Amino acid sequence: MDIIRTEGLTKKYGSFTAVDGISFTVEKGTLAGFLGVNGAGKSTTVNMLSTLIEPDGGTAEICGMQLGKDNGEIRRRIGIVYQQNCLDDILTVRENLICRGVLHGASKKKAAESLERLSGILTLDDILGKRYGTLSGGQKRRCEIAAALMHTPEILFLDEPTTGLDPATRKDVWKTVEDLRKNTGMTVFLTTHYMEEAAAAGKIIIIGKGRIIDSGTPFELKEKYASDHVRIFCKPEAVGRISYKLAGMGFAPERTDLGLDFPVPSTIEAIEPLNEVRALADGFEVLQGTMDDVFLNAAGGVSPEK
Amino acid sequence: MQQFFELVKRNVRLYLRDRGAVFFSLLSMLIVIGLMLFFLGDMNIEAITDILGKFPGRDAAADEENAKLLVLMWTSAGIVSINAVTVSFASLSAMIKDRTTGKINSIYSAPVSRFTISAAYICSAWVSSVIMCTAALVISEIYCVSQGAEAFSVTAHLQLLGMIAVNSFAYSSLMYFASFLAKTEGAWSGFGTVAGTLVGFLGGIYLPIGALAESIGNGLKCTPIIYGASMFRQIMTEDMLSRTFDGISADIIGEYSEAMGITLTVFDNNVSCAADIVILLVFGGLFLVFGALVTEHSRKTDR
Repeated sequence: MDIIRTEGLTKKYGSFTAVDGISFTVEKGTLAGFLGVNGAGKSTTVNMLSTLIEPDGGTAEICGMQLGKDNGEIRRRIGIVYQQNCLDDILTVRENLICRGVLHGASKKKAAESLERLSGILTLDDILGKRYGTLSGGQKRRCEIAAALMHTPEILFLDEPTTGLDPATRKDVWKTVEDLRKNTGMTVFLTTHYMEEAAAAGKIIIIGKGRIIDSGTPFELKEKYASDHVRIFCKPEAVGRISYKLAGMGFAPERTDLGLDFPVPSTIEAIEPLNEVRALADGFEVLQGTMDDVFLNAAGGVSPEK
Repeated sequence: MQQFFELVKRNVRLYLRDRGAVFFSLLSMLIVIGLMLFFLGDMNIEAITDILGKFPGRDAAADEENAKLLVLMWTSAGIVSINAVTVSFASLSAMIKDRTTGKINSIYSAPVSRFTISAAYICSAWVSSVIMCTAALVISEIYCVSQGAEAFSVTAHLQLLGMIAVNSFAYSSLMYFASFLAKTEGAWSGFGTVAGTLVGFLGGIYLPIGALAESIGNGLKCTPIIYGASMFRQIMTEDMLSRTFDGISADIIGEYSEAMGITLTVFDNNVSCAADIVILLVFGGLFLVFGALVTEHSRKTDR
């Protein structure tokens, strides 16, 4: 079941089209990655989906509600973690979180119950009485996530939530989100340009210059945009014969210090050439295409499907 | 409604816990105290003793003591009046910060209307202002009583609290509207410096209206600020005025009151306390409407 469905969603600022008729779906309970370079239209899309700005065209359905008509109800069902910290430095974590819970329609009692539940899940117990401004970067991010979850949303929007954090904190925050998603079955919509984060998504939507470039599972996108490489280790005297055989099969091997390297369209298609040169090679490894390759080739290249 | 009160609570907490904001919002008050203590206080006392000295048979020492207390009360009224401006300004700094840091988006993403959010900012500025003005009133009164003045009656207290509420409403609305003109925290801070200084002159708080040229005095009467100061002065100096000018003709008391901005005359009519309140309510109401219009405009043009 699709929990987010957009059709031709468009946002213009004067003559500049920030989001240009994008259509995509996100299935309930999944982690969807919204991938794109800076200025691609990621945040504008999230701002439209979270009702902060009005689209100039197209439609969107979130949790079965129509964007533009049921905005209040949509806001009750979504939580957002922004790139920048939004809680107040001079309030305690408890005060901040209770405030956010009540703002999202929870009674004080319910907000207190949510706080108790979330402080266990997100390990906030020791910092509830501390002022937010005195916390570390990782603790602050966990609090921001807790603030977005105080009203138990159906969808959690994460707008580049780990930008600016050190690698250890980023890993910590990401583990928190993953655990949370697995435990609650909540849908997570993540915008990022960190490839390792996007690689964990069940579906990735790539946006460039306001248009959807492609979408699919990380595997599908890697197959499409990131070619695998076969690295053959062999003795120098075998290089020429292996090269000749591979060239005869239509591959383009390149000499390296340790032997040969050649691209294959997919991992499975490495089997045939490897079998052919098996007797001449000392060893081999198949290097899968990375999400970095996908990002560079798809998002950087910008060749819209439409 | 719970969301509205939660937002008000948040904003008031943000102001009261920010020591820097509290200090700077009281800076104008400290300037007034400094001016009176080191420069203008003696001049104002002398102005009274000069008038009283023209009447033979008076106790000069008692007159001077009464004059000191009268000036003290007059200054206190100015302080209570000016605090509404500076505290409203400082309290709304939280809103400017929310806007400039993007924090406002996290509030807008809650199922709360923008009207409610705006109303909460205005209301929190009003609450902060009422708290600080009441505190200033209480401290001033304690000090004045310790110096020999009479404590205000229950009725006067109630009137003053009502006036604080009205004055705070007027400036919370004005500051909310003004906040849309400031796009950065720096611009807002600069505006605050100008407003804090200007209001002291416009309200005839640094210098009494009678010490200014008539044309400037008439100009001040076109702004609502002086009516707020006058309203407080009428109540706060009432007792000391009659004590100080005991046995002096009503005409002289009237002239002095007008020169000091205790009473204001517009088109040869004395402006009553009730009229002062109406002027401030209209002024506050107008800026509330302007603020609502600007809010709606900014909602439509938000990126």
